[in-house]
Amino acid sequence: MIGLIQRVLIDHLEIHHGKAAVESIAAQAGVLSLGRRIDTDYDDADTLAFFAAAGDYLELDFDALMTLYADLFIKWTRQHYPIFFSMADSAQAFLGRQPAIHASLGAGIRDPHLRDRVSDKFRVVEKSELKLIVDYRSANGLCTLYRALFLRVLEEYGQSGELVETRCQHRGDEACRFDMTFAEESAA
Amino acid sequence: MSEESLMASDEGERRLIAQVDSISNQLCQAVDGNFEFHIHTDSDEIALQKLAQLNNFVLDSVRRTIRDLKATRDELETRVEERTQRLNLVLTATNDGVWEWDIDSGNITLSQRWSSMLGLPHDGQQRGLDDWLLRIHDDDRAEVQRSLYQHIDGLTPSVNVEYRIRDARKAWRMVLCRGLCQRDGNGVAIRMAGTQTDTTEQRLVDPLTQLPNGAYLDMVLRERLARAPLLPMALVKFQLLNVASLFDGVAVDVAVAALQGLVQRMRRQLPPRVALIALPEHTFAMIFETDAIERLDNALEPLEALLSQPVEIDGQQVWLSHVSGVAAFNPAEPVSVDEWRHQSRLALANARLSDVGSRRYYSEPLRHWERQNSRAEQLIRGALATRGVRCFVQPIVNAVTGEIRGFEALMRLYEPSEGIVTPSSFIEVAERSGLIAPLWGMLMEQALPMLRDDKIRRRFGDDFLLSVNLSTRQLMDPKLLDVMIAASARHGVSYRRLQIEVTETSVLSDPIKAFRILDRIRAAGISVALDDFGSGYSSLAQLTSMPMDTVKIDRELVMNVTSLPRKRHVLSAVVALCQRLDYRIVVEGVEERDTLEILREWGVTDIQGYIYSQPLPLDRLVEDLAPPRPFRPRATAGGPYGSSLTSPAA
Repeated sequence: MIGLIQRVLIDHLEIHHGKAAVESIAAQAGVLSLGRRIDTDYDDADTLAFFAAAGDYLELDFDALMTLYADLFIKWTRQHYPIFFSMADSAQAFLGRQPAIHASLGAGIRDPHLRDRVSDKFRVVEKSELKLIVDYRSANGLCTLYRALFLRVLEEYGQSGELVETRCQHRGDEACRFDMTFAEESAA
Repeated sequence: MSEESLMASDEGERRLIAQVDSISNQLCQAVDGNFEFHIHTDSDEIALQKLAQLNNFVLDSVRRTIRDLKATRDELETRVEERTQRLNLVLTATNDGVWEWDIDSGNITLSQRWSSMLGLPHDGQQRGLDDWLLRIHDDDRAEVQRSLYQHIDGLTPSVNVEYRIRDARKAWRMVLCRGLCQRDGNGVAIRMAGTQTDTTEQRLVDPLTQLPNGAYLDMVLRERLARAPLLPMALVKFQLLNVASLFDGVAVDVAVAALQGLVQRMRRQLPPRVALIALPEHTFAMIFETDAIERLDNALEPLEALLSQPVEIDGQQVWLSHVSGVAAFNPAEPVSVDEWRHQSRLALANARLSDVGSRRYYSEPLRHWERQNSRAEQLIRGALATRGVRCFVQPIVNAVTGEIRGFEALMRLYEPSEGIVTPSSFIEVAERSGLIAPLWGMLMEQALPMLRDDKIRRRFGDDFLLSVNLSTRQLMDPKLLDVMIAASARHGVSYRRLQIEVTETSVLSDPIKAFRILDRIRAAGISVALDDFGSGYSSLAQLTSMPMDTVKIDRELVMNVTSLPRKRHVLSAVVALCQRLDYRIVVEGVEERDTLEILREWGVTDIQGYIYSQPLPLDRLVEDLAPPRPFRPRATAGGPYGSSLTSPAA
């Protein structure tokens, strides 16, 4: 998984719980060397284990951890990638561009197979003024995180909307499908 | 800031600059168009990692774009290749050549097929438009150029022009050229491209015989007359007259195969360089490089010898008749192609009027003959249009009783500037052209009413026959009997008072059919007379077989019979034969009493000739023809009648 994902969580834990807490959580997750580079792909299992240990440390269930993380992620990226936000004038514009942004984050991966896996993780299926459908295909199965990010992005742009996950890898589908609609009055 | 801090800050800035520089140096690899590398930074600075990351994204985007473009290009190339293969397949199947004209440079590019179509070597080189145009026939070149430029000017939606083009063997081929312009955004033509299709077989080959056709003849004639110096030549037209006989009772495909086989054998009888060209109506043309009659005779002899043999078809033998016409070309007195063809046509038309196997050479008298024919046709058409047909009648008299046995209806035409025109000026053309039928119809409309005309009945009685002549074409018309019955009914007269006169020539054109028709006519009660017996090449054989009632002996056998004993013997024998065969006899052309004396001695009663009356206009008949008086032999003749056999007109 791209290092930026865990970097956001590491930064939060260090700032609010200290370096020792980070090391403890890493040890709890069985991660010997915790990567911090945002341009490097780290082992998926290590990242997921670190997230699970962090949840335990923070005493948050998975959904709550994802909600927290979504907020952290938006704040972190708004600080370091402000242009991505200013480029989008609405939640649907931001989320419509999200697969391309995700691909840009994985562009530094040297292994073309891994790079393609990152690039192809998200795919816009349908896009219109008030509707967006995105497919998500990853063995990590982090559709909960996407749902949380959807709500946080709506909040970021002061919009309302709805996400229905019409397909889900956890239900045996090949990919998760997010069918998102955005309220008309907030779209302008 | 302390000095230590300043040093640390300088050191941090230098490291930052070095790391930015490192990223820049890595990006230098792109100057070769190589994007297969990654930007790496060891820095822990998020900003530098972000810089490296986004540079990698740009590089990856470039790589993806290049990959997509290559895939698109490969796909396009594949599609172009497929389309090219399909186009080549179509062009090969249609046998078309391809041409492309770059309008600015004036160069044309021709496909291999275009060149091979004309037997030309294909070097793949571009050439000037003139190279193409100069191969085109002089008479067609302007039209081709006009077609090309009209399309360039936007006046036509495409180029579509057919023309003759010279091949490598200097022979002409017929081709169809189609093309279309490519234009820029302003509609200005940039290039033109299209196909060339060989249409020689469709245009220059006769589909039935597979021989060159009339268009080919026209082309060759023009070519021969354009040569310098001109050479003596002869255009021969050879016509098979009864090809229809091949199709009698035989499947069409069998007959066609027999005809094609015959044509191929005909071709082999000619010198190799003399083409046998098929024209309409089973006519063939040949061009010989001589105008010497003897050499032409020798050259045509094998062809005529072939046709003297029967054609075997479906186990049967069919003999084909032929005639030919020859127009010699004298270089000292050159004529146009049209005139040359016309001369050969005249010679052939004249040969058709003669015996089968005849050959006629064009000469000036034929031109006179043609003019007469033309004039005759105009005369006939004028008469038909203005109801200018006039019925004349000549009586057939029973010399013993003076009774009128019949009147022969004779056709005359009225022409405003010439007055009354006799049949010798028009009857041949009328029969040949088929105009005899409407003329005959008009004649009958005038003649039939005489059978119920009160004045005529009072003067000549109710028993005389109306005798009318029939042409060959009319005789062979299966509706003839119905037409005569209908015409009689229309005028309220009995058709049994009609007599038809047919000539031996008419009957002999198709004796079986003619006999069948004559049998029907006689069975209906209409008399049949054999006309003009003794003129030309009469055959005594017809006297025994032809269904008829009366023999009309021609004036040729009667003339000078009083002064020529040998002629008298022949006439005597003919009269005796007819009497023995129980035919009624009418002797035509009797003008003198001495002749009548002789005929009476032989028992002949029915006479037609000036001795009783010349042909009279029907409307003057009663006024001009007095009832004839009975013949009295000279020994008992005399009295007030003298030598006259008619009384003064009433």
